[in-house]
Amino acid sequence: MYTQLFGHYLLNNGVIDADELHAALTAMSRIKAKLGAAAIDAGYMTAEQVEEVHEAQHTVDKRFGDIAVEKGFLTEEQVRSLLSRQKNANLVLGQALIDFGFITNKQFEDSLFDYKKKFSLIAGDTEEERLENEMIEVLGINSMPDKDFYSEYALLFIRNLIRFLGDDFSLSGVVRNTTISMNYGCSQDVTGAVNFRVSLGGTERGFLGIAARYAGEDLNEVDGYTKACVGELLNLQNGLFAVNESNIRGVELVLSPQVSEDNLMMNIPESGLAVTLSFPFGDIKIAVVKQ
Amino acid sequence: MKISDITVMLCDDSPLVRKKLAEILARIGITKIIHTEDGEQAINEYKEKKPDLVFMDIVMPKKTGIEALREIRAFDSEAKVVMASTVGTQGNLIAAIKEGAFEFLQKPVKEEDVLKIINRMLKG
Repeated sequence: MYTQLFGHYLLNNGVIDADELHAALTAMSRIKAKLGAAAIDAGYMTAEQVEEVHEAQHTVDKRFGDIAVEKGFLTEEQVRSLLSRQKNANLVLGQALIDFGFITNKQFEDSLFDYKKKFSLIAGDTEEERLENEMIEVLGINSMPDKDFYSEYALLFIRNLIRFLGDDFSLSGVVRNTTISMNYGCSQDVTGAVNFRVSLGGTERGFLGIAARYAGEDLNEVDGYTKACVGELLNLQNGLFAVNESNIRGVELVLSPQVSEDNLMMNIPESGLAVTLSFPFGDIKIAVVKQ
Repeated sequence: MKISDITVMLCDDSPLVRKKLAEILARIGITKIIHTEDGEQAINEYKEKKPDLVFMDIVMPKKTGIEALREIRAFDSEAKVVMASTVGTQGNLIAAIKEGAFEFLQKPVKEEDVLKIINRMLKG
């Protein structure tokens, strides 16, 4: 039940059996993902188009990428981008399963899409994607030096907010290059390939609101339990971010235990991001500063 | 073994997580619960009380869940330790497998996953 691993997702959903998973996991160190699997993962090609290129390779002595470009399935730039994704762990596992004949390209395409959707690796639909792009625009992330990091972090946070607290919030402020304060807050340091600190909290009402909704309980005073609830939501957000980084980029991040702080002050540099969101129960703040 | 005889140790620095897990376990008849808040406490309690099953967080003060898993398995090679963490990265999953974890649960924990684990444990 190692469900976060794509292989165990396939196992749990009956796409492959335990012996097939074991064989593929053992073979992973010996292989790298081929362009066809990478193109499906990136959403550049369908399984049918990949099969068409494979068929063509039986009759002409050309590389997969060259044929795909000739057929108009890929651009040269997309081929270059795909070559850099071939170490992605899920892709390598998928490739091993395809090579062994345990799954087809079509099963790989369908399962990978469902897997990414389930674990919030991609937006659920085009409307969600449109709203996400709007959010990036509103937060002014496009002009930031580390826009990839901040946009990935912010979008995951928004999805988690909707999932665990509800969608009845509005964006009421974005600040940089200033010091922000929270009556109650929780902070967590994340280290590794990227290093950053995140603080989540707000006014007393805001803090209690986060804790109450996340726990699904009536909570009326800030105490150790409510602080643990807010800390757990922060830990969940950072944990899922670390999982995504591990699955997509193959890098490991380490999370420090969360720390609660009353009257929390945090310096937000020009390269950082602090956002205030208004819920009916009160205002909450999240601040992210990459080192 | 009857389900009501099972003793489960919950190790998580979050009282919310322990509470939710204890509620799930109570619904299926498991009420013998040991609460621990960090890896060090988990190791000591395990050695003293030898619970049948452990649910272990990874990111914790004093000792991480992976360190605690290693020490518990060194003490008792039959120990059944389920890692329950938000940080299901490739590195943590591989470390958990290598150290002999019984299962790995991605938080937030779902009731159906806990039930599957209890069933697997009962089947031996």
